[in-house]
Parts: sequence; structure tokens; C-alpha cells
Amino acid sequence: MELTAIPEKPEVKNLPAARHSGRGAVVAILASALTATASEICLKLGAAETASRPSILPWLGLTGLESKWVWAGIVLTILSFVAWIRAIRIIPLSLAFTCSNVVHVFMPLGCWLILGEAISPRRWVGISLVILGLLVIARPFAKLNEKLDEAL
Amino acid sequence: MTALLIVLSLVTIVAGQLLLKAAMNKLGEFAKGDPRRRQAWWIFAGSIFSMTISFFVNIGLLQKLELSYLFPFQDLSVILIAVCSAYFLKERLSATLITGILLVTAGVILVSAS
Repeated sequence: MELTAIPEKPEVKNLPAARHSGRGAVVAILASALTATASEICLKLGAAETASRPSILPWLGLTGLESKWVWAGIVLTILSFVAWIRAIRIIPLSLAFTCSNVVHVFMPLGCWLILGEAISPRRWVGISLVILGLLVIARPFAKLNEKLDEAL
Repeated sequence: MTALLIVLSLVTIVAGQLLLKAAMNKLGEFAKGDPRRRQAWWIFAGSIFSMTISFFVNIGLLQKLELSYLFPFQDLSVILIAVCSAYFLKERLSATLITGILLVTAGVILVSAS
């Protein structure tokens, strides 16, 4: 079965070539994943800080807006979103969204390398499975990159 | 209530991503100045609205639940988005891509749950 989520004529008009190369999609997904990782950490810190504050709509988490961590998380979410838009302009959503899960490799590895947190064996197995899944996807992704580069 | 909010968070994130991709497809389809691009901007606005709901529901859930409890549910969004992309956006999924999606989802659930 072939990956045919690739549009017959990739959407390369109206924009500079560099932004639409396959490499551009990889960079955009990585940038989006890195900022999303930082954002997730900030949001969790902000949510924990404001969890006990009273609110009219407690299930909406609006009290989180009182935390600077949540605002930092919002800024990072916006940056991640801009990079994400660049990625999905080029590649199919099903492929891009799966690749964006590289965030689950960055997050524990970042905590391990920077904060010195331990990674359990089960988590190592999970990280390995995510990497394996991304490697499986890398082949159709490379094919798509070739098609995009040819279209330029 | 918690289960309902988890479902709402999932539905709004999936809808938001699908609408965003649909808007990007439409923007690529029509040249600048074409009035049909306006429709794409409305779809884009719908996607932002949907993702904003998801964002705040998510913060609300994070205030009550552990990240490790919440993540496995969120991780289902990978499969849901792939299935919905195939159905609504007519993206065809290859066996390789499906294998990759299942491996990534299994891995992510293990990472989140540990």
C-alpha cells in the first residue's frame, strides 16, 4: 500500500521555496515539538500553583491565568502553533500529528539530562517504541520529501 | 463529569486540528485575492475556537488530575486524528503509516503511564 496522502500537486504556490521543502517540514515539526515540551512543563507548573484557588468555573481552569507559568506556557503554545501551521501546510495531518509525538521523547530525556530525574525501565521501553514508530514513519516521510523537492 | 471533560478535550482537539488542516488546504488551493479564501479564514477561526476550548478544559483537568493519568487519554488523539484525516480530509493511510501510528501510540501510553 502506498502513502497517497501526498497531494498530487503539493501546495507550493505563493510562498518562497525554502519554506515548502521537505526539510522545512522536519524543522517546523521539531521546533513545534520543542516549544510544546517547554509549554507543557510551564502549564503543569502553573496549574499546580493555582489548583487550590477558588473559581466560578472551576472545571475550565481559568484561575490558571493568575500564574506567570501559564502565561509563559501560552506564549510557548503560540510559538509551537506557528511552527505547527508551517508543518501542516506541507505534509498530511495524519503524518505530521504522529511525528509531533516526538515530544514524548524530548520530555523525559530533557528531564533526565537537565534535571537529573530518573527514567524507569517501563518509560525507556515507551521511549524506544516511540522512536521505533517514528523510524517506521521516516520512510514515507522521506518519500514525501523527495516528491516535494521534485515539485519545486 | 471528569470523563465528559476528557471526551470534550479529545473531541475539540481533534476537530481543531482537522479544521486547521482543512483551512490550510483551502488557503493553498486559492490564489491571494480570491473571495473563496474568506471561507478558509472562517474555518481557521473555527479551529482556533475549538483548540481554545480544548486548551482551557485541559488546564482544568490538569488542576484535578495527574498528568500521568490524563496523558493516555490524550494520546488516543493520534489514532483519532489519523482516522478522521482519512475520513474527512481524504488522506489515505498506508500500512507503514498505520504501523508507525500504533507503535508511537503504544510508546506514548507507556511513557505517560510510568
